[in-house]
Amino acid sequence: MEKIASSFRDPSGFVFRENGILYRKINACYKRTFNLMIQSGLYQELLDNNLIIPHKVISDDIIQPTEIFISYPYEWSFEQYKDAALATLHIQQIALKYDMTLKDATPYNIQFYKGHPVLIDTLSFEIFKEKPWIAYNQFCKMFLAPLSLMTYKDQRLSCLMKDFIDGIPLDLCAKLLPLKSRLNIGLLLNIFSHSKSQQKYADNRNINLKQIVITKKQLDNIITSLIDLVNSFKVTKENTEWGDYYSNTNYTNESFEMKLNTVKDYIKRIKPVKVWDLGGNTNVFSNIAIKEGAEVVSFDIDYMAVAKSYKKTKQEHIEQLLPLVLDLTNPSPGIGWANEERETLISRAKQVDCVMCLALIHHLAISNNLPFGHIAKYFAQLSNNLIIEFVDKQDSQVQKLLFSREDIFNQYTQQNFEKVFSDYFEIKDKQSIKYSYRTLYLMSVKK
Amino acid sequence: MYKKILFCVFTLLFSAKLSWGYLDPSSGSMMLQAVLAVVASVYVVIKIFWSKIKSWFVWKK
Repeated sequence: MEKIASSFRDPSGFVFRENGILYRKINACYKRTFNLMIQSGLYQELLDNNLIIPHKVISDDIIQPTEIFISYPYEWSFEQYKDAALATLHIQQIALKYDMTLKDATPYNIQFYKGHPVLIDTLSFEIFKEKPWIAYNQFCKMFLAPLSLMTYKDQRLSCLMKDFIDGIPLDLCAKLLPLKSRLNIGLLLNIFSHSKSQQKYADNRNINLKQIVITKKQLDNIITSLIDLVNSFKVTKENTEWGDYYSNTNYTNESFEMKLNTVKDYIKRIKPVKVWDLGGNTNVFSNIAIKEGAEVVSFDIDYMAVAKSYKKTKQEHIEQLLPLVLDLTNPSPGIGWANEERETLISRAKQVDCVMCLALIHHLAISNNLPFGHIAKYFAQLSNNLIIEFVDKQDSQVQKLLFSREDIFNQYTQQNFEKVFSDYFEIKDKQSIKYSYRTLYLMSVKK
Repeated sequence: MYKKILFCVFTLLFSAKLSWGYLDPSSGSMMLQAVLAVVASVYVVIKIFWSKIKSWFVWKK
């Protein structure tokens, strides 16, 4: 039995892996509450509303939750983060109908399953008592604070969640938010006043917290106000540098068609179950893998490109695609206790059987000065199969990159690319794309 | 002795205000909820009342 590194804080139970399968153990102290959650109908209502991860019952104290790809809040676009917050609040409102309440309100308990956010911590409920909501502080630090900073300042501020594993401190959030955010009464109460209140009553032994009574109706009203507050957050900037990549590049219709068909052919040869699309942008090529039956996690450095993809998966009910934000030159680190609570990107690549790296190599090698050897070595660790596009220096996109740089990239040639990648991969196929300076490769890791 | 007293006074007057929020953030959150309970209830009542007025105007049209 291998306990999952992040599963140690909850006395109700823990998650473990045995023979490669993920299980959740329910400790004796929580069994009664868990049974109540199931028998009352709460679990079924959450399942019917696609708000909780389905599980199989293995025994009276072990369940097997459906295993899904784990992503973290600092990898989500604004829209995904907002939906995760709304899902948490809706779950809490439904729980209150059954006289239950969430013990936690953390984005690490929400994951994307078939395109929408679901609660993965099935043991996160307790019986409702007329007292303040225990998860309120956590909700403000881990959802409201990052969402308000993304709304009023910049989407990229969700990266603060990497440094603050328990959520952005409210006093820091209050300092970073602009003056005009105080006009939002919801933020005035839940961030600014909340921060002051925390400082005022911190370590104050004179107050009797047991006297504070919050009825079910009052808590429901608080949740309603939080839902309206989160719904009011909007990011309106639609187009960024990469938001519209495929409209602004130099593929002719014919060369683009050829690229699509070659990628399709390569995917059919590999028959992958799980694909990572690096630099996926608007997921034109992820969709090819999806049509061939794969589940795809698509990564892009641009928040708006990811947001556009996510909106599309929602509108078109695409269940097999999860778009995420990622800077491949600085991928998600391991954070938390012993750097193990939240995994590195590469730790989550264990079941990936194909990586696509299209229209990306020049950004890694030229914009970021990465030698081909470093890139090949990393990709070989991610997956056994690689579909990669080499973009020659004569390509206009590369010329743009070199416009304001000294051309120190003597090693950036197709010949050298093939030579270096051959140290790690066997090149199974290559196709030059007509009317372009680009070549597609199908590679597999050398054994 | 006087130097020690002066040092303590000086430190109390001019040191940055310590935040005990990390040691105990929960009390403040709980106290605020007592206020939020009232504010949120008023908010929900106004919201229901406002949507009734709006629907009345739509009906009238």
